[in-house]
Amino acid sequence: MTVPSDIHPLLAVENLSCAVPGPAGAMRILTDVSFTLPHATALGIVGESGAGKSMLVKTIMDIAPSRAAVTGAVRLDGTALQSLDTRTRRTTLGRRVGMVFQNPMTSLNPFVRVGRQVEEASRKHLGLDRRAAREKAIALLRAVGIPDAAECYHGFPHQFSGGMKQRIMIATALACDPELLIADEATTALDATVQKDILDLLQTLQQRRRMSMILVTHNLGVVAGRTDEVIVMYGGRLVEHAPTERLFASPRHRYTAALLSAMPRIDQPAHTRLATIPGQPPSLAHPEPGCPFAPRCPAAIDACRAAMPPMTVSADGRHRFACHVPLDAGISGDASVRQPEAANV
Amino acid sequence: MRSAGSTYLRAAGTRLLAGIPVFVLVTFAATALSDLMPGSAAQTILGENATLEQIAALNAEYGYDRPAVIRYLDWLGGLARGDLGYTLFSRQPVAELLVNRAAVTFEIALLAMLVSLLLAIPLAMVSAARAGGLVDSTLSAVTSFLLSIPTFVSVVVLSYVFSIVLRWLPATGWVSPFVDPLGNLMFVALPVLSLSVHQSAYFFRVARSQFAATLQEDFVLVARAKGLSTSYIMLRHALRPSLPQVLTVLGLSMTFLLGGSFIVESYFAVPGIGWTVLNAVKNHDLPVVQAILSLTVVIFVVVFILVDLGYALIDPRVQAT
Ligand SMILES: Nc1ncnc2c1ncn2[C@@H]1O[C@H](COP(=O)(O)OP(=O)(O)OP(=O)(O)O)[C@@H](O)[C@H]1O
Ligand code: SF4
Ligand SMILES: [Mg+2]
Repeated sequence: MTVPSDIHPLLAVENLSCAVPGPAGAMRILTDVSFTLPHATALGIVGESGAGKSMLVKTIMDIAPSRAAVTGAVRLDGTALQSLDTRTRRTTLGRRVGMVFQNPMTSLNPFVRVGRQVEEASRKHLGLDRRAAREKAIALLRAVGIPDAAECYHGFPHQFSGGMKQRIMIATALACDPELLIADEATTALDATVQKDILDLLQTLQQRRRMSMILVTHNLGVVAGRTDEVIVMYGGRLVEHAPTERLFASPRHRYTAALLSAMPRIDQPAHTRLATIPGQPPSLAHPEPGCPFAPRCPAAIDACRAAMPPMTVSADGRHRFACHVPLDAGISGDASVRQPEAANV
Repeated sequence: MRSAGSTYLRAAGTRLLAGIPVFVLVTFAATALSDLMPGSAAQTILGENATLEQIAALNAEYGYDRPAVIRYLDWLGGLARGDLGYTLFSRQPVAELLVNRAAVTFEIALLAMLVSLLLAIPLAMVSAARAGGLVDSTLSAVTSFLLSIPTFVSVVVLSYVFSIVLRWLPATGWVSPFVDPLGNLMFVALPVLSLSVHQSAYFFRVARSQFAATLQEDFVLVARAKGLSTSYIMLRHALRPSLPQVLTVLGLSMTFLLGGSFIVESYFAVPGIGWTVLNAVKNHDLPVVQAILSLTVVIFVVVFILVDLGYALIDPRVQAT
């Protein structure tokens, strides 16, 4: 185990960009994403489908498609991963970062016993022998709430429900006691009733094990109360980054505000039709100049279409956003951006 | 895996029963169709100048003047007693002949299968692991070339190179492995190689595309995120999920191997069933044709049973029923 240092954040992402060749020229899937994640901190990454959230975490994990051209740096505890040789980089990431994917049905290999899938990383990276690895795997399966952990260890994935499979995946991700757990839409494919259980489990594990965690979701409700900070992504860019309560209470970026107003609310009667943000996500192949949200933004001015808004940092350095016409600090964005919904019906 | 053995046995039994109608259909057709074939066994035995009376007498002696249904029932009765009749000319028991000849063909077919798999599977893994790389594109070009070569051409080329130019292997002939094991291998080498050329290229193609497809699966991405090495991922995560597809092709390729054995056996003068059936058809030796056809049906039924059971062994989600 590396001793967590106070000098370096656990994770530092610096000017990360990623482009994939497409039929209509290179698609810029990520553009200039930078952020840091301290030790033992939970971070939410939020954005619409196609915003580049999955690509961001895959690039961090070095499992982006091989044809993707990646620039920028990812540092783990101060070490630039790109400076390591491929083998060391993969091993480092595999040991220190655990990842849970969106679809537990396809993330577990149906041909391989559960036990092996849970323990293979710990056998490789921690050098555990068969017996120690099995004990650890069964303990982890128990810790993620699987009733018959020993039986589950010998079973095959198809014998379990979706929720159980995702618990197994989480145990798998914890095999090497990672310092960072990344959950990419870990509950999206599950029944609504199971979603909350899994999210609560992730939160409990994060706090009990003092890990950092990245919760990727398109649903702001998921990160509320479960994360310390939130990053909002739009069109492959980081558009806002703030402590969670602050982002909910006073978003500065117009897109964040629109997302917040599109959120289902507890005070609404059940089955109210969700307000969605009108318009299309931006084209990644042919980005317009200026703010990518401009075509859909109710507050857009000419400057928005002309130039990319620079990243603004709040006085205390804890709130960053890239918007030409930010909402006022301290005023809930909810009211000021809630557009005449009637006009769009 | 509770009493997996008995489950598999029961599953095999059900499928064998299901194969019976096919068996009856094919073997009866063989009996009936012999009436429609030009010429007749009697004609062949007696020669061009035989009189109609002589032919009729011979047909009566062998029972060929009876209706097809009766002849078929007669044959079935014999089959039940393990008696498949006698060959028309040498008057040898057909059952004995069949066992000897089938053993030869099986040896060649199984060796060809083994050689092809041992070549194709590892190469396919290496190719798929670096899809689009140098190894991959080279092998892809080589195998499409090999696939375009018909068996009768590879037979000629291989025997020219290995027995005429290099003089490493005998050109034709055969010796029983019980008499001379090493000599037997020398004799079957060329037939086996000839069949393997096409076969290994074919297995490679199928296995490579299946490996490439498996590598797109989410669980492979998960394995990569765990920091596992490529060779570990190929062997532990990609191999088994790719096998059912290969197994299907393995079953189907039995048709190719049996078909290929006609060409290969007659070229290399190897006394297998391909060679035997060709001669038997030429001579209207109906008992032999009949026996080989039945054997072929049995082989196919058995191969498909094995393939089915293979799926259940490979894939934990498939139940043998
Ligand atoms: N392997 C790939 N090759 C090419 N383009 C890709 C690939 N994977 C994703 N993309 C593209 O990258 C963009 C971002 O995709 P990504 O999966 O990161 O979005 P996301 O924010 O995770 O969305 P979702 O909420 O749907 O998961 C999309 O436009 C997508 O089409
Ligand atoms: S920069 Fe302009 S267009 Fe973009 S979100 Fe802010 S106000 Fe809207
Ligand atoms: Mg995603």
